Amino acid sequence: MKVKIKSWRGVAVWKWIANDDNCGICRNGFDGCCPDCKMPGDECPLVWGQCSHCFHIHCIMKWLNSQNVHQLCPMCRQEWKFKE
Amino acid sequence: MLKQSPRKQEKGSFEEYWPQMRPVILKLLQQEPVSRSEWQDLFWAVHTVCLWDDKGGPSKLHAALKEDILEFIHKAQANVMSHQEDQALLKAYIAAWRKFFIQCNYLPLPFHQLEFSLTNKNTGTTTKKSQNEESIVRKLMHDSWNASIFSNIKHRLQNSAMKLVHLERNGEAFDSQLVIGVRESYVNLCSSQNDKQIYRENFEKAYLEATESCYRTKAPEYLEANGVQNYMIWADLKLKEEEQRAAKYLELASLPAVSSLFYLLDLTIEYLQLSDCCVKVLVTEFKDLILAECPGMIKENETERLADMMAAADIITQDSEKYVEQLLDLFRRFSRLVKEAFLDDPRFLTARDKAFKRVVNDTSVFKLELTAKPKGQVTGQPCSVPTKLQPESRCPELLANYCDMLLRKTPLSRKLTSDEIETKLKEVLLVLKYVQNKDVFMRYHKAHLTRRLILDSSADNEKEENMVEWLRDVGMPADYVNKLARMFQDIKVSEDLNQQFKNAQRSNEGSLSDSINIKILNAGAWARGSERVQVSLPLELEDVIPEVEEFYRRKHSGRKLQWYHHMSNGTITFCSSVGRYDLDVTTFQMATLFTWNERPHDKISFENLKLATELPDAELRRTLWSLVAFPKLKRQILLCEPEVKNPKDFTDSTLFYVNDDFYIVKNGKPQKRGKLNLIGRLQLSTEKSKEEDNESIVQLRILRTQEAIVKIMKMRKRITNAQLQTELVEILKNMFLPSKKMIKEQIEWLIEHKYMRRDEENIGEVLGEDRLKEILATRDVSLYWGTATTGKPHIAYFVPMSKIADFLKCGCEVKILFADLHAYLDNMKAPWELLKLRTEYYEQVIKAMLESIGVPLDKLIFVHGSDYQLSKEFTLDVYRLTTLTTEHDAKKAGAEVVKQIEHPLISSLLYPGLQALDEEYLKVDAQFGGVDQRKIFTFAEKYLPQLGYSKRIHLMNPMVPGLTGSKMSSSEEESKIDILDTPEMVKRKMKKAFCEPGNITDNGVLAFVKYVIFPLFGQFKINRSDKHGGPLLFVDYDAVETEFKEEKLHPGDLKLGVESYINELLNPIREKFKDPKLQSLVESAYPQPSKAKKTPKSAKAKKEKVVKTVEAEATAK
Repeated sequence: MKVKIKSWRGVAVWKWIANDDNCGICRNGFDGCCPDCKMPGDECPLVWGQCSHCFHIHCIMKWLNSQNVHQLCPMCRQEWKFKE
Repeated sequence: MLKQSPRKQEKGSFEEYWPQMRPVILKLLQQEPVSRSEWQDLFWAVHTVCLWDDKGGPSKLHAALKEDILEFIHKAQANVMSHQEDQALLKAYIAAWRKFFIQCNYLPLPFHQLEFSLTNKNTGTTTKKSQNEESIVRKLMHDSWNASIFSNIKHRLQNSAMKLVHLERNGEAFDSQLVIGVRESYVNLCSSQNDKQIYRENFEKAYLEATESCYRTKAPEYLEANGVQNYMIWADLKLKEEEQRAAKYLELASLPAVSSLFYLLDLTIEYLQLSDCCVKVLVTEFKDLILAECPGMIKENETERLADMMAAADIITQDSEKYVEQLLDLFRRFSRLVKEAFLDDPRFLTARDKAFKRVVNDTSVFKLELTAKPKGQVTGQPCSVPTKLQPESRCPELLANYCDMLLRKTPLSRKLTSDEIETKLKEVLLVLKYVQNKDVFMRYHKAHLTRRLILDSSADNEKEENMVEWLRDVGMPADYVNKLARMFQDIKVSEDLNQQFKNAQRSNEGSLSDSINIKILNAGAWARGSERVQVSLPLELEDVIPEVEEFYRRKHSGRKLQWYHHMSNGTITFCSSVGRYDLDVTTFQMATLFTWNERPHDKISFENLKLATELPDAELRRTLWSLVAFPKLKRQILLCEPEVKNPKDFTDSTLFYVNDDFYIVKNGKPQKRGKLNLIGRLQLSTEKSKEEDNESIVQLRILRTQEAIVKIMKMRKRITNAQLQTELVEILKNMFLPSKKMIKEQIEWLIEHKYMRRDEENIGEVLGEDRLKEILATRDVSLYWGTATTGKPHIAYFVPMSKIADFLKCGCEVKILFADLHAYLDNMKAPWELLKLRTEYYEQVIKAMLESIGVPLDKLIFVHGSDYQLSKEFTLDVYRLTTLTTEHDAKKAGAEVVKQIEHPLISSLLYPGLQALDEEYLKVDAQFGGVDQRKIFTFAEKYLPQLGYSKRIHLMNPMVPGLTGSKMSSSEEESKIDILDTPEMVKRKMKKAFCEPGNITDNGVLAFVKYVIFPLFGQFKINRSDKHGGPLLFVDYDAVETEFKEEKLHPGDLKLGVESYINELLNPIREKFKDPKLQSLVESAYPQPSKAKKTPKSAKAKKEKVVKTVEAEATAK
């Protein structure tokens, strides 16, 4: 073999595995963070509901806390359950 | 003498001694030899006369002496004046003066006693010898010389001296003593030591003037003949020469003058050259200040400036490093100068700042370079900022490149110590303050930083992070700086992750995982175009990648990795027949080279390489080109057949093969081992997204501008255009300087999308002011005013009439268009059968109105719309326009003018288009109308150019509110005053007009005063009855308004005044319309007035509205 790899410096970006680009609540991109955070990443993670909609955790928590009776997904109005 | 004649001594009279003294004095004056005893006797005689002659001896002596001196001087004068030729005169004068000057020192000596007694007598006090006063006799001599010779010929002397200096400047030798002599005679003639007034007013002034005029003519000539660079050397030389010359010819004590001479000179010289360059700004800025401050500093200043100019010119041919170095040097020097010489005087600091702003933002600096050195290679690429609208300075880009050089591992950064780098970086930031387009700098800086981080090529990580903080400190936008900070964070997180990955993979020996380093980035902070490039990777990598992905997935659930292979890179070992080499390559290069692993000696076609690597065409070309023609490499890794000059010339059948004889050359010898970096400048984006990237600067600017406008509007709610622009610039200045055009476009966009509204009440104005100024600079403007011949004209028509009078006064060519077709198109406000009559009526009324305000009709051109609007060409243009105009635009344009109904007629949509075309067919530069026409005007500005016609200027007059207040109904007869109303009707309507005391906003009466009476009459007189305080006279409208607001002016009186003016305006028209022919015209044009009144009135049309908002507004609503 003429050419051999000695070392490699790979570059990648990480993305949330989400079916949308923006958070349905704050409308910020998922590669950004919710309005209250400064850094995207582990401090401002996404969560998925069983209805397959996903949001910034801070956004959906704020929403759920404001709902007294039924906790519904703000997108599809099904009952909100966190996806395991 | 005393002993010899004691009796005479008692007498001691002047008459006795004078005969003895006189010959001696004359001898002295003639500079003939005087014996010692004669000299001493003179002393004695003077002394005696002064002490003993109590019958006014001293003054007689003084008088006699004066007479003798005068006589001598006259002789000398005759002698000097006998020379006609200037130079000879000069010589003779100087000889005579020299002689005389010596006498001036001797002759006073014997007369000391005389002076003593004279002063004693005059002052009556004890002598103040200590004061060392100027000798009276010398003063006498000087004064007489000055009075009789000098003042007569001083101009000739001066001129000839200046001529000599001029000759010397031109390189001819002459006796410099002559000039010096003149100067001395000037200086010495000043009777007191400190007062050099004569010298200053004459010689010095003349010298300065001569110098200035000399260089004013010479400098441009030289500049033209020899180019900038030579010119500057020449200027420097001349300055030194002049300095020496001034030292020779000018009095030393007048150094300030010398300095100002230099300054002047310097100014003259420089002013004419680099007119675009910074230096000029500096010079002009400094001018007043320097002259006012200490002139001694000027010399220092000017030599520096000269040096700077030289430096600046050199930059032209240099690269970014040199450019920035020079820039910094310049800045340092000026800052130091200002600090040391002027103690950081704020005015100088401002001057420096202004100058620097010019330098860094001036695109002409580069142009200048190119013209000055046509031979030199054009090193600078064309401005890489994508705005095609206007070029921008490359300065921000160069600054960013320079920062990169300091922060990356480069020869430059290795050479400098850490502290030096830090200082330089800080200086760059200082200069950056002056850069207008900081967003360009940011963009480049970020790109450089990305490369440094990805390639691990930072010279010093700590400095990198400091730099981010410094950027924050100099006011870079926070979101930008935060992103930079996040990039560092990502790199740190990636390092930890790599460590963990390595630990986890430890068991897996032999695989590549050990030598792998992954950088996982946050798309928001780094990403530039998320386009994925397909590539088929070497097998080893294909194996590792899933491992990494899996590892990452376990670490961070819910996330996935997207590879940026165009940024990743690695090191490979490459063997040729000569040796084995380590090559740093991009992943694309790696993938390409790996194609040969299975068949090392094959020639592979471009097409097959495409299949093997799966790279997109553009990327493959670029990659292959970097392997076939890497700059600075004598032997390339790959070879191709046939050879090409450009990557675009590769065809599918071009063959590529590995260069088996590849080797690295070091010190002229081939090496068996070695390391080589083939990455070059790491490509951050793919070919495709490059263009988008460039456009994105402009796009981002647009968004930023909109954002800022909205921000301001939210805060201010209401703001004038000018103020909005100022605040906008303030907000955006840390990113870029928004152009006027862009601001305007974005404001329009925001208005159109209903984010904000234009205050319709306040827009009396001009569209296209710059064009107007252009035309005015060359010729008189021709313009037209159009009126649709709909309802009866009323008195508010006097507003545009008075403006038309003004236009005529200014020499404009004014056309008046009777837009009959328009009147028909606008919802048939004028029925077809009445059109002719209406037009006739309009023409008569308008003409009568113009006559009534004294406008000569022969200067006006009257045009009927149907005369040309039905022509073939015009009709065709109407059709052409309909193919371009959208329904939306046409509707919007007519919104304020054409009658709005639920289902608009096509005619109402054609209306604005016809009006736009009128401008072209009437061959005018401008259209004049009321502000309600504004939307049609902007419509015309948009569409005429699309038809290939030029954009016209639009002038607008404000609208006059109706007479009965803001809300008015056309059905109310009282709301308007018809041109033909009788005085009684006027009186009645005025009485009912809405004119609430103190209310100046909804006041039609006041508005009439403002827009009609003052423009036409220039004053406003009210024949107030004596009961209410007698007649009133106002000379400006503001006074009327204030009085009325404060309720000092009663509405009744105001109305009275207005009424008399209205009648004054209408009377001539009424007279004219007494003609029975016209009477019948009125009746036939507007039949059945009682019933029909509503129809024409409610059909207030566009043009009419200009004038008579009164009715129009009401119907539209």
